[in-house]
Amino acid sequence: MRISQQVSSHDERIVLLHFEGDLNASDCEATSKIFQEIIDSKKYFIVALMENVTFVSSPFRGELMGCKLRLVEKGGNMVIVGLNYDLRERLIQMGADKIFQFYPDTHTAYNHYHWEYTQTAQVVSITLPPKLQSVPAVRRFIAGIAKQKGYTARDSFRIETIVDEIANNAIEHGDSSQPEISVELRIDRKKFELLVRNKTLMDKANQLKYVLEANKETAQTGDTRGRGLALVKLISNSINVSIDKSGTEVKITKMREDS
Amino acid sequence: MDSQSKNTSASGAAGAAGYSVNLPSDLEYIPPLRQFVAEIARVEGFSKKFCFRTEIIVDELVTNGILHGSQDVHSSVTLAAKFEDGAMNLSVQDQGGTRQNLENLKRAVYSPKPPSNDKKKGRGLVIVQMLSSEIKIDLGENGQTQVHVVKTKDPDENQPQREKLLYESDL
Repeated sequence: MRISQQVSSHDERIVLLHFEGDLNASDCEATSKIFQEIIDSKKYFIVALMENVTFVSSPFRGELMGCKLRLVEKGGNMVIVGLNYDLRERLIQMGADKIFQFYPDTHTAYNHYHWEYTQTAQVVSITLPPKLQSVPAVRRFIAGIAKQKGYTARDSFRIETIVDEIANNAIEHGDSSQPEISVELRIDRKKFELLVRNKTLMDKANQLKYVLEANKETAQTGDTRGRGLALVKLISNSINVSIDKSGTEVKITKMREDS
Repeated sequence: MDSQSKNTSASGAAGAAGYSVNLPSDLEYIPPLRQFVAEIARVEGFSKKFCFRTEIIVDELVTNGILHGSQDVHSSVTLAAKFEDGAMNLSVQDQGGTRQNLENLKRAVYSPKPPSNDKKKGRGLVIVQMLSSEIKIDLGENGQTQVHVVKTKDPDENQPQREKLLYESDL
């Protein structure tokens, strides 16, 4: 086994550990010492680069688990990058995927690090033609992102409902000559923000603002429609509308329930 | 219902339906993105087979953009899809990778050759070539790479000619 270490040029809190060759039981002691030195230097995030690893013995796997535990206790983590398909499959069969995260490259590992530890929001922007038929695809796309990012099924369903209501309103009540509407989502580990921009006729936009600010629904008891925004208010944490000459922007914030 | 039909016809009159998505350079976004593009292709009147193939194309191009065309964690990838005249025009733009990445991309697009059986990678763009009607690369001034794919509707659902040719040359 060969092992070398370097501080990441991307973030100095991350240490990159390059492993090469067979990771045997006889390598555990030397590796443990290196892990301890890294922890003593107050660096708690390790990316284990294993592109050139040819074998991982059971004792060595135990050593990696021990190191991960020590890092987690300090609020850090260790992830494995670049392990070849066969070795990864063997480790997964032994349940290692319940302990370690495996990533294909360092770029993806850094993304995970930012998501988990620096709370950096990720932004997705979508523009679409003002067609009501395309809204289901958009709402499923955004709910799919929330699920993929670890939000619960309940949160994702509520996000889907919010997107559906707001995007439908933007199209249905928007200026019929608008070329497109734009949807932007900012998602981080704790909250989800949705911004929908469109071109709206001024009287419609003011009506929207009135409904939101006066805390009233547009629907009367016998009406079959007009409860969308009331529903959105119920399942989100905040809703703001800004209107100017360029159009209307609705911004909705929803906190993650299990955060 | 009235406003629904009004808005639908208005957008139809405006011409080609254009969608775009800009997303962080993160592999986790790919499954929902490819399903999204397949779903809008279905909305635009394309067959299930077309949409499934579109999903494969999107998966391959965006994975390449993220793995080989992203310089740091703040990079993003933009996908644009336009549907008109029975064809889908798809483009995927990334922020540009290394010179080697670009050379590999050009070779894969302009002289495609499936890798040998023992290789685990390198089939993505060959598959995209098989499933699309046209593919080309544009390079932006700031090093961005844009891959354009045109996929036309296949009314009789036969295998496209290009697919047969690639198999023949492989044999």
